[in-house]
Amino acid sequence: MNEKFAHEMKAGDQYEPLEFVVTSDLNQQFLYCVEDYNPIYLDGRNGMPPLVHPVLLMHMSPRTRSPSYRQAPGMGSAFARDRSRYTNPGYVGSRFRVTWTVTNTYEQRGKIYQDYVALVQDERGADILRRDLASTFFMLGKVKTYALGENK
Amino acid sequence: MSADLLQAPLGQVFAGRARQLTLARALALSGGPFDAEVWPAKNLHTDLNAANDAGLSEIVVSGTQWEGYLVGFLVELFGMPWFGCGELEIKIPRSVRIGESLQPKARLESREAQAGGLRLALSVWVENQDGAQVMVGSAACTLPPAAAA
Repeated sequence: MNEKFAHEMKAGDQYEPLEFVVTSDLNQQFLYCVEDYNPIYLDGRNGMPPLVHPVLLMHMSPRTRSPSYRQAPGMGSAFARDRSRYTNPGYVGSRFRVTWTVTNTYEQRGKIYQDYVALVQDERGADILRRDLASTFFMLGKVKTYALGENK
Repeated sequence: MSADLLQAPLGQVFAGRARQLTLARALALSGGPFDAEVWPAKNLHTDLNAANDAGLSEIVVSGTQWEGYLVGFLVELFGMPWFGCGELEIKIPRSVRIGESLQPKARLESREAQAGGLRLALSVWVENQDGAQVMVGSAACTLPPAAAA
């Protein structure tokens, strides 16, 4: 779909979408991650399946999950900030699709910044989670922390 | 949802459960599905060599892990309406090491009646065992009239 390295992507460019199915096992793996066993994630309600825990959808929505994400040798990337909006519940057993669109790129203090929108939709096409994310690229070894590293 | 959130005075602080971030749980988050052919996947969140290759002296836990603590706590506070209108904006001022104990917190900042219901706004953060903030931001959700009654 695209052969660009991630830091070469410009506003309007899109990373290749990702589709995945959330099984009960996968959802419960993420419940274990965050020690959150709220029954809404384990038991269905009102004839509906259990809810997918938000942490799973967050985990699947950084651009590094895209099959087309390519990081240039010697470069790293890190999360800078995140604005998330939850618009519909996601259910266990559903197939989800994540799309990523670059909205802005700029340089600041020697680092490349890239803003992008990650949109998670379910198999009906309903928006589940929209994230407006900002991230930086830098040469490896030149930063002190990788607070929210984006590795696959 | 939490009735406390509807009745609390502005400025009240709510605290979620503190959890110790263990290696096992970090691997579960960043290592890929348990039933993958190879598990855990090697990356700077799971593997010391991969972290060293990235210029780090130790693996660094993905911030998604404690953002997950925070969002789970917001679901406890707001209930099901969170999944229809939850808004969260965060930054991560410092990274977290394996073994740290983290606790999500929220302070009620405003409660406003709007056409679509009652909008509640919080400042939110996650702090470690020393009280240092490892995530800071804000959250909001508009409760439909039935939920806010």
